Amino acid sequence: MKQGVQDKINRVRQLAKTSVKSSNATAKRDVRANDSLSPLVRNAQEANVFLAELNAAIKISEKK
Amino acid sequence: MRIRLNLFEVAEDFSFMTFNTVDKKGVEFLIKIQISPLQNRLLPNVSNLAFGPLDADGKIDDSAQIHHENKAKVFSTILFFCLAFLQQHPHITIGLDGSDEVRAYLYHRMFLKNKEYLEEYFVSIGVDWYVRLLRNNDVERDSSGQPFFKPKPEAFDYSRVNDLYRYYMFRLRQ
Repeated sequence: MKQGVQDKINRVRQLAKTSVKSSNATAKRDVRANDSLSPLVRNAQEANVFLAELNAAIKISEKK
Repeated sequence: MRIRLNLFEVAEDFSFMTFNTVDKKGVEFLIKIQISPLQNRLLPNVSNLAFGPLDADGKIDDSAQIHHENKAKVFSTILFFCLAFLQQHPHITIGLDGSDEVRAYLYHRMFLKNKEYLEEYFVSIGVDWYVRLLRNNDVERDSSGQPFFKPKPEAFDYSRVNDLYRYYMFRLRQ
């Protein structure tokens, strides 16, 4: 990663530590999103297929 | 890519961030970016990215259409936040739901306009919905008679200029 980008990320991390405006600022990731992908993965078998295909697509994309 | 940040608030776990942007008429908007786990617990390592101005209830209005003075800056800020989030959560794949034409067009354009940045730091995936064609020439249907769609991910095809995906995903490049 370019050092300039990493420096910006580090600055944002510092900002995050001091950026406490309200209880929402430190909310945990427990709010679940509505999305159109979730209804199409109906059981563990479909999840396994989707994740296997996702991993295969990622491998192809990484080679580009 | 030059990224200038005008941040207002950032969560320590990078679950959300707010920043200011200006539209072409000079009106300032507060934009919130939020990354949340999907409702489907069978996909524990996929999280949804939403961004937009806040509505009257304080929730993100991700279908709001803002004519940004600097769209490139908005997109780069969003992707930068995602980079920071994924550095902290490298096992997560981020998804963007292109469930309507407005959002799908926005996300598709964000991917196309930021191809270089995306390819440097992320692995990008496009997802279409497919349905099986049966021997009787009908499509496979579910118990309610609706087409039985299945999501099919592929490496993002940047030659698809106007052919939008249904769902967009990316994760940190290893």
